Amino acid sequence: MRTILKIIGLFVAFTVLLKVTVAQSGEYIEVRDFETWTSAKVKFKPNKKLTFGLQGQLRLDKNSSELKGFFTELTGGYQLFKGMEIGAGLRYINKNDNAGAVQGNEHYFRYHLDASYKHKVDRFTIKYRFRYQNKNEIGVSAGEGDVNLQYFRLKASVTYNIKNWKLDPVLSGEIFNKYEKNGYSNGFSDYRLTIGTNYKTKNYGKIGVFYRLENEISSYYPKTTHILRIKYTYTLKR
Amino acid sequence: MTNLKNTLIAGLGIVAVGAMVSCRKEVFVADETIAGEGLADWTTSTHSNMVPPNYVEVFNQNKVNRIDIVLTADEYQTMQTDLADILGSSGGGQGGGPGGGGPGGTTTFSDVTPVYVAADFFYNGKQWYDVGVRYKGNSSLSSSYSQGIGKLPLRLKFDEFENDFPEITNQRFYGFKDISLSSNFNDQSFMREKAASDLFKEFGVPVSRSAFYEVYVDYGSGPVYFGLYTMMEVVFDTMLDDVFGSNSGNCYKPDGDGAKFSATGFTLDDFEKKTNEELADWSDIQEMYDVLHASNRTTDVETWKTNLESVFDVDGFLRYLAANNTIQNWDTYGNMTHNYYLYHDPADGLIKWVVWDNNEAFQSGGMNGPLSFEMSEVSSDWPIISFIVDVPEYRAIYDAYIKEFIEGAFLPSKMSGQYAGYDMLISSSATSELADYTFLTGTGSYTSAVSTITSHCGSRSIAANSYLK
Repeated sequence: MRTILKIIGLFVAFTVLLKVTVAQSGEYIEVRDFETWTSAKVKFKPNKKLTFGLQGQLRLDKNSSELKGFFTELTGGYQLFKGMEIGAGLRYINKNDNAGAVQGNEHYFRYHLDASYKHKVDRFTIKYRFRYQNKNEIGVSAGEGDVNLQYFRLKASVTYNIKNWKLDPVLSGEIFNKYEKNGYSNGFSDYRLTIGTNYKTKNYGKIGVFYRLENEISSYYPKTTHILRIKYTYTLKR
Repeated sequence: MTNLKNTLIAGLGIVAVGAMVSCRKEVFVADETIAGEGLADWTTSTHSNMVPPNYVEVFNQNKVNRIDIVLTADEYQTMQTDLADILGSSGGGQGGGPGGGGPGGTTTFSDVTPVYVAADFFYNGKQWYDVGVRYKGNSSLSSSYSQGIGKLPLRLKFDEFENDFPEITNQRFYGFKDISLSSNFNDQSFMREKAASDLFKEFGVPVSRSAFYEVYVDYGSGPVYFGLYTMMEVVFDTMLDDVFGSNSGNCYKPDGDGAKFSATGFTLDDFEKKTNEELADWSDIQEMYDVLHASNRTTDVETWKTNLESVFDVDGFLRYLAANNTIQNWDTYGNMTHNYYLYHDPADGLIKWVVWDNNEAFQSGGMNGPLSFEMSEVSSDWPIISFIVDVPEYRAIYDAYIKEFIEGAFLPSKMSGQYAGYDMLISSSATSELADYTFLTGTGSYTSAVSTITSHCGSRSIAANSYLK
């Protein structure tokens, strides 16, 4: 009996030793996540050509269990002619950096410039949007590690108007092209595919529910993010 | 309204399902599975971080080694454009005076770090891959640049681009992550940086190791001899561990008015952390400042001394000061608000003085001139010197260290041999520098400078003896 116990003991010790010996240094890289984005937006159209919007959005990551960040965004749009609109937006971002050695709140300022065009084909409404976006960390100089990130984004969306049905489906695709000064991974970086619907009420505004798939392209370990987006929009009356 | 309700319920249902079913996934990426993958010359002893620094190989004292840095024309252009942007925008370049942190205002140059580009690096027939290369320095960079001299000081970081090229994760050059290449700016003997480093080391003052290197840079049209450089060990990379046996204490690189420790203009913002950067804790520096400026300095000197010696390595500082004043190294504390490090040594809890950047040593001139042995000209704006040497016991220790220095490490007969040894080692590399990549002003200027630095030792010995009498 003692011999058997000794053999078992030696086997356990050997197994533990082997496990310790083969333990490798390295890091865990996130390659998939589920995020939830919820937002509330107030829109105002002072006239037929101008639109302003103020939005607050909260994002959760890590299986939608931790705060990823939140932002406030002010947008403006001007209709040049029927279907053609130009716009701009300012965004103040509070990001919860919950990874790596240095963690904490980070603050970013982002602006974007848009040009979009939409037209109808039968029951389909097709929209194209080109966006230039520029982001910097606030209070951190380039020497201290701030990276000025610029993106050129191209988006196309299709809405289908179903007869006698309020929940028209919307399908969109968007591709991101990243530019960073002296960056070694410039070029197409991400794409997004989104499907969802909007529900409009006369008095209570509009609620949108979307599922979005976001994929990194150029990363060495590309990440896939599944996103549930819930958006409430209220349009102020003139 | 019923539809709205249904939509909300459906949305909440999706969230609940999403939260319950774990979608998140991480993969473990072991260093070993990436580092060196597909890189022909990568070996553990030469390229990995699994080995201690190989000082014998990298800081060879008996040989001038050659390194080759290979950049594409675009990468070189990126460095040049970035440098032009920095010097142009800061006003620190185009003839800016020596020392970015001098009295009477500071340039902003040192606040901006030049861009790294990924270069291939060759040494002794082996290649290191996508090594980060950038320009470095203050006056040595801006003055050389404004004079159109291509021999500019460089900084190498062997794993700078590991996120872009995971196969170079934790790349090292024989155990070194960072390397500094001093251009021997304004030094026609090429010996000041090396001789000062060797002398401080021999005298027991914490300093980085150094070695001579021929640097060739290929920026698209074949290798160009950029000249004879002095490779310096980077303090917070390997030097702390080598000298103090640890690098877990706070290491600071003071730069700016705060670096004076003066009662006017002191700010912790000027103490850049080089270790423990993630901890926003400068309490040790604040404590040193508070003790230094305590009112008991004039009312109860013994208590002040005891308190100061409990936070700051006063004896080590006096040892440094004796050597520094003897070799007439003006471009540092006492004249300039930079070119030193402080290390809070966990072994004894004391903040220790670490020497850095000695290319302006061994000359009686320079901005404001070097400090005299007496240091009577040093005002209370430089309290680490003026407050300490005001104490007779400390002054006596300082004097004793000067005597020890000139009779030992800096003994003229010994230094003549040391300079002759450097000369034998580097004369060929020095005198073959190219016209656009040299600080030499004529055919005999190297020989003349070697003669000057050699005789400087004798004259300083006489001056020291005269002071000590």
